[in-house]
Amino acid sequence: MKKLFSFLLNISFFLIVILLAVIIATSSLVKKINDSKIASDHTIKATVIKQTIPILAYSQGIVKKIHIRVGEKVRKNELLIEMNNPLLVGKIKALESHPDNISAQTEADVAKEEMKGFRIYSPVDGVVTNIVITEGSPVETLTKMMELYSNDRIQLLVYLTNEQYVAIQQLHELQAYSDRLNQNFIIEPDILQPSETANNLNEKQIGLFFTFKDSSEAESLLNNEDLQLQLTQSQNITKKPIDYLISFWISVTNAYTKRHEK
Amino acid sequence: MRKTNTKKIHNTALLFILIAPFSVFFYASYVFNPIHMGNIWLYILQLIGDGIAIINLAALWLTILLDIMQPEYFKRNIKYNKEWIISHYVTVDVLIPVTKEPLDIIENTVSHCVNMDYPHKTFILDDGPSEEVKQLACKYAIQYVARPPHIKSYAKSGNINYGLKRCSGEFFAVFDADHAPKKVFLSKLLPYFQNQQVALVQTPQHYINTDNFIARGTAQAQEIFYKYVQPAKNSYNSSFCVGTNMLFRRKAIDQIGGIALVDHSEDIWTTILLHEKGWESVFYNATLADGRAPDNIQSFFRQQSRWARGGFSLFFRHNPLFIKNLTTDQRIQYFFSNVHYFTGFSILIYLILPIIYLLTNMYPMDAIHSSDWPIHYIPYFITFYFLPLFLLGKLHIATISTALASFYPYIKAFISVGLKNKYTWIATEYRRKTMSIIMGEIWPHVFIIVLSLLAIIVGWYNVIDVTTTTIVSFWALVNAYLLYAFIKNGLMYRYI
Repeated sequence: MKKLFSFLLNISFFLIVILLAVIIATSSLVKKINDSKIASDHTIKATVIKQTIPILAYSQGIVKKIHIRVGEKVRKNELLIEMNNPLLVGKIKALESHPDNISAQTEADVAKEEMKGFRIYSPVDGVVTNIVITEGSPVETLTKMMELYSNDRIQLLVYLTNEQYVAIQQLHELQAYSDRLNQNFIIEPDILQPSETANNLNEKQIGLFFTFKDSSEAESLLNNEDLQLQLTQSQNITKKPIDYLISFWISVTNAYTKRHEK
Repeated sequence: MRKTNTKKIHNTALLFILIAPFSVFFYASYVFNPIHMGNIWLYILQLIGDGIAIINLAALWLTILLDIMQPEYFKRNIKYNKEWIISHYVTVDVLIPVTKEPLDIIENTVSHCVNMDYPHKTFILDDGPSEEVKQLACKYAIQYVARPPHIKSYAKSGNINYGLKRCSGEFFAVFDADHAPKKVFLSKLLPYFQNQQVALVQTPQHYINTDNFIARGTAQAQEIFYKYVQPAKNSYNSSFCVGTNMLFRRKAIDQIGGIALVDHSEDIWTTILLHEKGWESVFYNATLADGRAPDNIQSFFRQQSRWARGGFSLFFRHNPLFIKNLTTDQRIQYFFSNVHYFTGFSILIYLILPIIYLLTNMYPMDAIHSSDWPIHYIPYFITFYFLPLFLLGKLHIATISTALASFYPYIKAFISVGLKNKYTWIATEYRRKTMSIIMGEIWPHVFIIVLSLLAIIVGWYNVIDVTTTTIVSFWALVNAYLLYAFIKNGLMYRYI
């Protein structure tokens, strides 16, 4: 009798301990699920980052003609600026008047070569954002004349919480929406932002770069423009076994809370 | 002249002893730097756990290494002359305090005590008291002493003091009911008393029932203490009495008014009192008595809890660092013995931190996506786990498992010493008649096992950092297995 009593007491004690452990584990699992739910419900701000390319003067001279205006699209190898240097032209003329002097001829060739640098072409496809010179203004060597935004590698920078980061990894296709253009862009995760260069406010957030799947589409986006990253799950995702367990627990807890509310 | 420290330490062990402080400093410089803080509360827990662990490693290190480094001429000179007992005849009493232990165990001890070769009188001090033990005393023709119920205060120490009133030998030996001495016990140890300052000669507790899991673990955990720590303490003249298998000088004990009257750990208190009076103690590093280690969970916890209570009450009530008459060496050595029992908190913290990480993704150190932590931790880990391995030759799983499980008796002892609860002394091996709820003793272990396994499942849902989660899950699994092995083996013996 005593033995049976102690056996029952042991068993019930054992079950209480196990129940306690299960409750703790379940509640933290539910919290985890809710966190990821909240993460995927919110839309996340994504910032467009375009590479800025400065156009520098190749050599000393005077701006003869500017072929583009601010905001204009340029193609690669399109002529941007023509420059001139009257002194150099005069020098070449003077040197060429001595056709029998070899060193003078050599110097004239060098000056001609320098003249080629007076026609400046665009290095990339892009948009002109800033022009700091006018036609006729004198320019020193290596001064910045204009800036372009490259259309080559347009990136999106997104700051994510841990849960959002996990949610993104589980999605097959990611889309960013632009209010201004009323258009969706398909994007792909690229690299993490190195933590040393991150200047975000919250240390716990992860900076993640995205690239556009179709970069020609993204040309119409502006630098620093905010897009909305959408984390809604698409339908055709295979369920893992644990997901069934989780959905079971959620339904159990939901039923419990509903009964309480009544 | 004879050295008691005869055990040679292997070169590999020596190397690890030398490396230990560097790896510990390397790790501590990382952990104790708040830049690497993760969650602040978990970080505080981590600091407490690591702090205690590091203090204990440092204590072991200082004790063993300083002893090794001492040159031969500087070491304590212990006189030992075998001829002394031939030229001097001394009277010896052998006391066996008994409290409701199983009869066959008592009989084994009594028969061994009677058989010792040096002439002596044997006394059985029955605190039970029971008729069977009385008959046993008659059978072996030894004195039977039972305390009358009205003066039954102070468990073992009261019992021995009452027995001392009935005997008058110049020396007396004490054996617990489960420690059977060898034939040569008295003749080997008595020559130490040629030195008139020696009050106590202690021999190790050696356990023979190592076929049992828990007993094996306990025995090996004791081994490091008796093989390395006690001999080292001996060279500081601070080896202390462990409650059984020792020989006392009666004059010294009479001078301090008998065995110290406390409810538990009267052994270490008595030694402190002797050292305060300027008496010396000697540790004889050879097995001269075969004991029995606890072989089930309850007796193991009873033993650990008794020792831990002794350690904590000494630490809080009579801290050896501030006892005036002790030498500096003795103070430090006693202090080191006390701090060992704080490891209960370290173990608990190390057990729950992986679970918290898996359940909530909170971590004490900001080690995510970074290799700093493993670089600092791995050397420290290797030192901490391989130092005992090299000191002992091999490390049983049972040893780690029982050490891990002992966090509960330690913490329980800490709380009850803190709350000043009254304690009733129960022998490690007492007759199991009363009903016991085993779950009452192992619920923290069961809880941690179950929660570890569940936490691994929860941790792998929506994994953020795969590497960390893998390592932490591995640890949670190892912890769960070790605790499970402890419970499984501790229970099996009981119900077969």
